[in-house]
Amino acid sequence: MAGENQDDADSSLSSQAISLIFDKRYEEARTLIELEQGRLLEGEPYRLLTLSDELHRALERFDKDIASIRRVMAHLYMLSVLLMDSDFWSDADRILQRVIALSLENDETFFLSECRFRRAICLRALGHVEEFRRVKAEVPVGTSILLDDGSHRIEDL
Amino acid sequence: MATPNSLRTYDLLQQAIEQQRALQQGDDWNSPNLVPGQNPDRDQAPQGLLGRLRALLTEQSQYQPVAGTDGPESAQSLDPNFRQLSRVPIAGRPQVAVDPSNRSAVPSDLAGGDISLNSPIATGQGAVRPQTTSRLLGIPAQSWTVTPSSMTPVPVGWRLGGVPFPVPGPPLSPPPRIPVPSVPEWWKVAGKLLQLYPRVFSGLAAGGGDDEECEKQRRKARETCTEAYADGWKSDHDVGPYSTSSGDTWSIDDCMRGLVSEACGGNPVDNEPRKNGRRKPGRR
Repeated sequence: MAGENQDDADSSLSSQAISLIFDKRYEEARTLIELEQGRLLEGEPYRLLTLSDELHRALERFDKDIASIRRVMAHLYMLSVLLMDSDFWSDADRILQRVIALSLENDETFFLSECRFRRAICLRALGHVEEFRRVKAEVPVGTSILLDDGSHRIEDL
Repeated sequence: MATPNSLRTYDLLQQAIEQQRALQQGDDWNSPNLVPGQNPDRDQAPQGLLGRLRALLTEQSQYQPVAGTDGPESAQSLDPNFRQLSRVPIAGRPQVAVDPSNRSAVPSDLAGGDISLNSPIATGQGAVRPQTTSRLLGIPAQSWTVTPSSMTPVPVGWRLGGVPFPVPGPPLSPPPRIPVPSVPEWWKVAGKLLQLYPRVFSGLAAGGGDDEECEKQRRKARETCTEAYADGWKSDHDVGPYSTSSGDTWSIDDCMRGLVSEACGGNPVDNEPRKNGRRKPGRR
């Protein structure tokens, strides 16, 4: 029972976070994710367990036209940013992979470089050294992105 | 004027001092047994800080005070000069003492501390063996270690004003270095990352970084650019898309740098109008 309740709580949390982002209520979503981060025990990996399922259900509501795909990519990108800001590296990495895949499938490169850059950060935080090197190599030398604290180059990573 | 009670206390104190002196003189300070006891496991000492620490804890657990073993030494427990009398559980072993010459080699911070050289801790009777401690601290073992003694109560510390302190040793040397455990490789990697990620370490990045106002600008710019992209570039801000000087396609980074101030990492303001007049001044 406790496990089911926990699943419900995770599901609810994931639903709320995704709904807030899709409604462009980014600050509320940020607060929700930060609260979740603070609640988790130290030393435990940070995961919003049912995030993928919730996301999958949420994305099914969108059409397959390019305008809808752009909106999906924008929402996913913002979700990954908020997750990274709260150290949910693994979840952020999976979402960034989704954005990168959508970018390549639809030849939409607006988020592509930054998502690769951000994926490299996640992989480095997770200690996935080999994958990190591979992803970093996909980012052209000289690429820089604006993070909240300023501009960073891929060479600095 | 001293009262009879205080005189009696003084007499008892004097008597106890004499007893202690006699006890010390009875010790064989020049015994060859004063050579530090060799730890049979010394050559197989566990490696690593945790291993050494575990061995140390094992040795400590071997020291178990035994109750009801006062015997003939019980009278000595009345010695007021002893702060505490500890019982050494190993019976039948020859009592040994500390060689004064070796004793003088004890660092003054240890000799002058609360722990007597004759205490179980200092004598390495299972509580803490100096050899082990030395290895733990990365310093060579001192020869002041003594082998286990008998059931004789041994003093843990002296009261001030009782027996004079030994002559202070040489000046304090710098504290020994504690070996640092090795850091896993992935931690080094993560550490480098944390130096880059903005929320953890600010100020390392170019274009400001330690300014809360800049952080707000960048965050707002990110949201504006993302929403503009999602809404087909409908926006109240100058979000693009534009062709870039590098020939690359318009990216969120290009968009953001057009919205934040130069001090916060944005592009310099381009005030030079194009010939056709279509391009507005801005950060592109």
